[in-house]
Amino acid sequence: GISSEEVSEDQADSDTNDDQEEVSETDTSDAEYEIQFAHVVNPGTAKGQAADYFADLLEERSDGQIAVSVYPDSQLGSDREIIEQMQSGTVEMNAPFTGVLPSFVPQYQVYDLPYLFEDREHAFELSTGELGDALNEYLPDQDLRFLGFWDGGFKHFTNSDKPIESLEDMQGLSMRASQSPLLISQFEAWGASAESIDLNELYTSLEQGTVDGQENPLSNIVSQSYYEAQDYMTYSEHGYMGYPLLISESFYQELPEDLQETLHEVADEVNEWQWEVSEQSEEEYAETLEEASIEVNELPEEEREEFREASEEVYDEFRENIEDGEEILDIVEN
Amino acid sequence: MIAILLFIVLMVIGTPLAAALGLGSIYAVLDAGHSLDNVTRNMFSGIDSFTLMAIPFFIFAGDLMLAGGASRRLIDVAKKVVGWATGGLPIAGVLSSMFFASLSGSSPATVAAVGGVMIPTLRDAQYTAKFSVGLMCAAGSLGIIIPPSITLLVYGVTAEVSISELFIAGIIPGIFIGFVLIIVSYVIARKQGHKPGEKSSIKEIVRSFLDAFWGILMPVIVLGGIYFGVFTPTEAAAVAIFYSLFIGMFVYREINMKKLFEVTKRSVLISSMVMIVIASAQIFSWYLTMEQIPSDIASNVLAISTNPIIIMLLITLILLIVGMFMDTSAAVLILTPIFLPIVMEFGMSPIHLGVVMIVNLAIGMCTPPFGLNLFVGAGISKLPLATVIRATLPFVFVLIIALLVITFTPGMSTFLPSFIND
Amino acid sequence: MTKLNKFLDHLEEYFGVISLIAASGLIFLNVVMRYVFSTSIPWSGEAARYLIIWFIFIGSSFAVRERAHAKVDVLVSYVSPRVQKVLSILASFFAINFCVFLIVSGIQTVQNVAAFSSITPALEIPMYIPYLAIPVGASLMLYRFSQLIVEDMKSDPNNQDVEEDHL
Ligand code: NA
Ligand code: NA
Repeated sequence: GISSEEVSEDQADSDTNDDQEEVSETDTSDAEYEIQFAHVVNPGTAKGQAADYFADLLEERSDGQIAVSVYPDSQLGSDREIIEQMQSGTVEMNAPFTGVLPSFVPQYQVYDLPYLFEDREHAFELSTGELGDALNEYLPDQDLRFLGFWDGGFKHFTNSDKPIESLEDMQGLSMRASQSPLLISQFEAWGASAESIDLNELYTSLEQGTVDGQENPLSNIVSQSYYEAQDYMTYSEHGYMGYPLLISESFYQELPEDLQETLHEVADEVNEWQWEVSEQSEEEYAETLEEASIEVNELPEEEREEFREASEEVYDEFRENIEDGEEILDIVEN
Repeated sequence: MIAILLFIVLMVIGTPLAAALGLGSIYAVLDAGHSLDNVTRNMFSGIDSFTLMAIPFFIFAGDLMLAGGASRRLIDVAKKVVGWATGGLPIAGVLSSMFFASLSGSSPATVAAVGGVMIPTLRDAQYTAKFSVGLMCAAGSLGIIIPPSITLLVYGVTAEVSISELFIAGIIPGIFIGFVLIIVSYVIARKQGHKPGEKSSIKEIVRSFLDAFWGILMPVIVLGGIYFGVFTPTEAAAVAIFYSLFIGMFVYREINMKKLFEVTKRSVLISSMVMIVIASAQIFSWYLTMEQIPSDIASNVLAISTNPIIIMLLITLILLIVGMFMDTSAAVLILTPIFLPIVMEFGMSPIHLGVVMIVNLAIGMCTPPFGLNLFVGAGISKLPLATVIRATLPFVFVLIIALLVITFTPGMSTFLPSFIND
Repeated sequence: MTKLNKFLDHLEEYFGVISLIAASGLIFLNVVMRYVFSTSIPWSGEAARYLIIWFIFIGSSFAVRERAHAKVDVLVSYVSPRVQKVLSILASFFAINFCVFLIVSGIQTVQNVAAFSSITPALEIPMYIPYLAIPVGASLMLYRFSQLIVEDMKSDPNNQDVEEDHL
């Protein structure tokens, strides 16, 4: 076997390859608390960087009392599997995609609604404020606690058929949707057909034309290379993607009060940091797309209004099917 | 350490592999202080995959092709067309594997689909069981080398490399390996004294062709369907099932309800056997990840030298060893972040590293104790696993030689992708 | 006892056969729906995946009965039939151990998942139903491995050409 000292040395070695210079390595070999932070994205993305930054900062601020190991790239499974591991006490933290949470808290489906937020500021204020708090009410029943909300960016359309310039252009397109019932209704409300294709097969399906298009924020369109498999991208900002930063409630309760405070402090600081990094990387992704062969266009504001109006039935579906749906929408709309 | 020892002892006394792997992993998981419920959770997540569903589907489709008489007619065409050449049938087997690999992203599925038909045919033509199984298991490794490839896709996402470029990079190495296997088939067939079959008249060839028409249409539907984006590989497998069922029942009329039940039962048996091992392997893979063992081992080994050739040999060695025990996607996810910065230091292209890793891990699918191609090969040939392992071993050496050529000829991987950069 | 065995045999076989056909049928139907009716069955992929998981664990029990599971029998083929018999019993004994762990672990997982009443995204069925395949399948396998032990005990080691004829 390998002793724990060797392990931490090796980690220090491999960390020098990362571009994270802000924080020095802390000796965590005698940490009292250990956090396994698992997530499903590449360490280079804004979310991945934030997870690493969170780990370093928390180790530093807790004077090594809390050690954090980050497991990126779905190493410990999908978002759903990581949450289940949090509930059974194997993993302590995750920043899951909101689209996975309805399996545990149906109210999180609110994030699947098209044109929910007006802009970034709106998304930030509500998600880290009133809306975040309201959804947080349902989390203790799942043994989860909300520490913050990380940005994934607004979703845009890509497809292989034509630039989307109006609602008309959506007619008859086959679009990949995740398994969320609301996302399927969204595309159907816009006259497209929705295909549920597994994320693993999305790239090949796009390249081979099994579906015409898909929706994702720039981070996924670029980091998963979807733009290479598609001919057109439309800046539509028709949906929002975010990641609530979650910690196991049982683990949180084990921490002494001062460490709980440190945890919140670090979470708040990293939260701000993550939104900045995410905004910067959006610009980089946009540059990548400009240099790529994909044809990019913007959906004009008056056309977005058409999409919004056509989405009304999706909102009704949310109100009718989700407990407290009305109250949650009131928070967003006021 | 004890976990691995336990695993080896259990395996050697003949404990079913799923249980041996499972017990070894359970020991490790509990010993590291993780709760027991991680065991079922990981077995579950190991097989809870839309992509992996293609394995039982292609096994089932292959069985139906066989039972429905389509395979027999197809092979009859192959025999008539290339049977006159020395080693014609095994060469047809390798070509079919290359053909199928361009349909499927998975190696075990390639073994199941092509081997299921070719192994009985080769044996009919007096080739030894060992040669037939070994060749088909080795040729099946092309499944993840020739695009599309699930493993290359995982690498591309992890290394942040263009997936189209990676896919294109796999073509020449894949064809090269196929070519090497064709030469080996010819040499062995010649050495074993297989006489070339009789030459068939054009009339006979045309007749066999017409008779096999519906069977020939099947790869056309599956291949065309995937390439022209009619369906995903898993969907293609499901379409293949119903297509072969249709021609087996209504065109060749060789399948009735009773036979259908028997065929399905057989597919259930083989698929379960293959998939339960994948499920058990996932426990071990999760444990390795959780304890960050592969990265520790790799960084220790790589501290030995800075010579590019030695490093590439060490990487090959690590991958071959890891490939013996681990699932390919898990190995790619864990090892890519460690290898990539090292090889970038001496200017190696990440595309080339991807191809090298994939060829390595493809070989790992033919090596014991955890070799998916071997399990499928044992399942479809009904030979004991030990026999299949011994039969595949000579081909593994051939594959390793091909791997070394590919590793030290980066141009093979980077030549084609260089065209899409312009 | 024989009645129970007969019943279990049929149960495993019919379950495996029906779920394999149903899972592939769902995926096939989805393709047809896409091209003929330009719509899709949003829950087809999920339902097929869970059917396949159930069929793998039930089918594994069926594979125990048929002694079809993958194993490494290099060494075993070199020892005397008497030792082979002992090793075979020992192997089944360890496999039973594995099943016990799976049953306990599976029940834990099912309980954990049920406690938070999470649901699957598309079918919206309780998430513990797919997980239940593991403790159920492991229980069946445990029973089958015990049967193998009894079978081995009764067998005469000098009168057994253990699959050698395959070579
Ligand atoms: Na392939
Ligand atoms: Na292997």
